[in-house]
Amino acid sequence: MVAFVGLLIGVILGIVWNVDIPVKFSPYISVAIFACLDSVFGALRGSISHNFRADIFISGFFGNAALAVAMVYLGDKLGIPIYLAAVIVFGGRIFDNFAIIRRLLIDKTKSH
Amino acid sequence: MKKFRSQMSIGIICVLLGFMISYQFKMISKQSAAADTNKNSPEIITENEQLKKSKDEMQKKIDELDAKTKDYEKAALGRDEQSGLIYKELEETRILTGGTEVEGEGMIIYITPKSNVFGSSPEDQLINDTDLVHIVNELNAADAEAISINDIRLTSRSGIRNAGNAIIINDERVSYNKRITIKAIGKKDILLSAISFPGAIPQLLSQTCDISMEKSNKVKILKYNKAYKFEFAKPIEKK
Repeated sequence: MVAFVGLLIGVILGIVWNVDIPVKFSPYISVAIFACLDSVFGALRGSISHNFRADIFISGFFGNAALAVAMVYLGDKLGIPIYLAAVIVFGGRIFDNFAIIRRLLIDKTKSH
Repeated sequence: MKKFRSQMSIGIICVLLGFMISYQFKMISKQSAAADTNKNSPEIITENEQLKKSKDEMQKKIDELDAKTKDYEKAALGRDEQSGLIYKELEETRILTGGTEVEGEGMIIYITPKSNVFGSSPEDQLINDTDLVHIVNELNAADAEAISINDIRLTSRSGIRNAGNAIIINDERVSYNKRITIKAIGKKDILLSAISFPGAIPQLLSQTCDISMEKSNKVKILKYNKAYKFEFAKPIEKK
C-alpha cells in the first residue's frame, strides 16, 4: 500500500516538478531506472515468499543503480557499450523474479 | 517501530522510482517532439515547389533576354571588321566565364553510390565535397575547357562544399547519396588518362561508389546562369 502511494506521489512529482537535469544524463537515468525496477521486483518476490528485508532492499536499490550508472560512465569513456551488460542482467533478473512471483502466487491460490 | 521505518523507506524509494520514471518519460517525449519539428514539414515542401516553379519561369525569361542580346550582337557583327573581332573576343570570354552553352569532345564521369546492404543508414555521406574538388582539380590540370557537375557549370568562382545534408555548388544542392555526373570538355584522351591515373580518384570514394567513365565526341555543358558581380576587384590602370 505504502509502495503504491509512494509511486503515485513520485509520478506526480516527476510530471509537475520542472527540475533541470541535463540531457546528457538521460542514458544514466534510463539504466538506473532499470536497476531500480530489478530491486523492486526482487522486493516483491521477497515479500510474497515472506523473507523480505528492508535493509537489503534499500541497499540493493541504491547499490544497483549506482553500479549501473558507473558502468554506463565507464563504457562511455572506454567506447564499449557496457550498459548493455547491465540491461541484459537486470532484464533477465526481472523475468526470473517475475517467474518466481507467478509460481508463488499460483501455488497460493491453489492451496486455498 | 522497526516495521514503520522499513515501510517509510520503501515509500521514499517508490517516490524516487516514480519520479525517475515519469521524468524520463517526459524527457524522451520532449526529445522526440524536438526532432519532429526539425523534419520537413509540408509547408516547406510546398514553398519549395513554388520556388522551383518561379525559378523555371525566370529561367525562361533569361533565355529570352539572352536570345535578344544575341540578335543585337549579330546585328553589330555585320557592321565592320572591328566589331567582328570584338564579337569573337566576347564569345571566348563567355566560354571562360561559363556564360554560354558549349559543346565538344570530352568525357563524362558517373559516380554512383553503392547501395550498402549491411545496415548503415541512408544518411551516410558517401560522396564528399573534397572528392569532387579533387576530381575537378584533376580535370582542370588536364586542360579541361569546361566542367559541369550534375549540369551545374563550374566557373572560376564556383565553390564546392558540404552544407547541411547536401553538397552546395553555385548555390545549388547536389545530393551526396545519389548519382553524380561530371562532364568535361577537353582533349578526351588526355582527360581520360588523367582521371585513370592511380590516385586521381580518391581511394575512399572508389570504395563507397561505383565510378564509370566514358569518352564522348559530343559533350554538352550548360551555361552558368548567374550574373557576376565585382564589388572589390577593380582593374589596375597601367600608365
